[in-house]
Amino acid sequence: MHAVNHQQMDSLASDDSSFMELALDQAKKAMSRLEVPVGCVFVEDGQVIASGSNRTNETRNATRHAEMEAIDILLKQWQQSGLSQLEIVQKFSKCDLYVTCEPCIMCAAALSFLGIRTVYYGCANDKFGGCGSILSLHETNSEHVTSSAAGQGKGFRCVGGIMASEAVSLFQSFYEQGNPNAPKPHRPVRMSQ
Amino acid sequence: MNKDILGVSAPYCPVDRLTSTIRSTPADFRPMGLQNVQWGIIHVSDKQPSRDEPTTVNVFASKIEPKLANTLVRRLCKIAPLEDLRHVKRVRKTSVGGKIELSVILCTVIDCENQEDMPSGVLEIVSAYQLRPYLTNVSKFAASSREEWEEQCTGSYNHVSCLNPWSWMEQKAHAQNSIMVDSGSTTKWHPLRHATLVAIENAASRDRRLYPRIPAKRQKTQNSDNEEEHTPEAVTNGLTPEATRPYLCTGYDIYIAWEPCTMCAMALVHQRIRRIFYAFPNPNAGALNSIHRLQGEKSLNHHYSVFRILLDEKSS
Repeated sequence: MHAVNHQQMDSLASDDSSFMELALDQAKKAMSRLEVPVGCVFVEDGQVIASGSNRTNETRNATRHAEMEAIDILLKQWQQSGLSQLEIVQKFSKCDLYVTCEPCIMCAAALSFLGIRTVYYGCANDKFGGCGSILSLHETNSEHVTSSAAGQGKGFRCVGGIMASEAVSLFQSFYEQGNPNAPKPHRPVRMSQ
Repeated sequence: MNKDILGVSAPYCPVDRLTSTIRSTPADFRPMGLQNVQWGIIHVSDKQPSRDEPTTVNVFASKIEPKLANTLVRRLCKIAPLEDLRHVKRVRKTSVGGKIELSVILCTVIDCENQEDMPSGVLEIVSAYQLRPYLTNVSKFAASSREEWEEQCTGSYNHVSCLNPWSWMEQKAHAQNSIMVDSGSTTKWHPLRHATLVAIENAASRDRRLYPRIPAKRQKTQNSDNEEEHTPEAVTNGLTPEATRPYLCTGYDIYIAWEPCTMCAMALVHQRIRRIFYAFPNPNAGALNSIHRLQGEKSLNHHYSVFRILLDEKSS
């Protein structure tokens, strides 16, 4: 997997796994609510500061991915504690995200607008992935972006393949039980291994 | 439900140009309030335009006296309208040695091979004002790159969230002040609340309201659950809400002032929107033609059609 930084994985492997475990717990929570099992946690200074899981079926809003849920929790929390916009910018630049599946194009764009530091993900997202699979929004080169044209956001570090098989097996058991909220005339789901 | 607007939104920042509307039925393609202006509509392809095709159109133009500009343009627009070239400004201003010079497009060469074949009305103007037509060319297509766009547009819209989605991080001085004023308690800004995402949220909340889902385990408490009650509309259809409920925004269209950014364009894929209509290209961040072209990404599980509405100069 091209996005994996092996040196980083060796030194931080145990931390990475424990945060990814927490993200997987969130994914399981989503599955128990009959949602597509994706979960995430935001980490700042070695502490989990927010977690989120997919709520697209419940809200009938297909943009309510785990990442968006957790981002909204963080923004609310920080605004309520009186942080200024500048302080929130600085907070995001020190935050890492652990998410069970590669962020989709929408979430990857959102994370780049927020200026997140690093994204650690489980399995790749062959259909929608925005961190290398379909688009590479994490590689946006902010050096070429002037202040008047910062349309494409900021690049971030991306490390994939952390506990990927656990994330994949969650998807498999979800699709085996069938997604009860998918539209009726739907092609049979094909699982890529 | 005819021409029903499902969600209208404005962004979190005070910008009146960035709004979007989701509709459930095809409208008559004419944005409200623009009944009397000239407009056009072009399909924004899922493929990059072929480089082999000619990208320019030959036209006859002439230098004119600046004071004649209004009269001539009005007459020429009647005699020889530039039907397929609405993105082209008919008059071009140049400055030669500090002196302003104006030139005007008389007609396209498609209509006439030689100068003598120009429409009679145009020939009349040429002789009446002693114009000296020359051959030149203009871009066949509306601008798609940043450079072209900057050439065609003046003015900047850097504060629009979708146009410059990262700018929220740069408005430091201003943000500090506003936080001081209201102590941060009532501040409601959100760097990701672009108009499209807000419109999707509104459409989703309408969906929940009109087609309440009654989960099996919650049926007993249905009556005390006021929030999820059946609405008259859903009941009088004589069908269960579940049977008539649309899946997300399947079959719906969105009308949006600016070409959406990558986040918003992908959100519209997720929400299964049918068609996107936008007026202004977004060279900084647009994901339907400018920077990316999501409607052409084969791997995505949904593909919408994209149209750009060309407004005449007065309204754009």
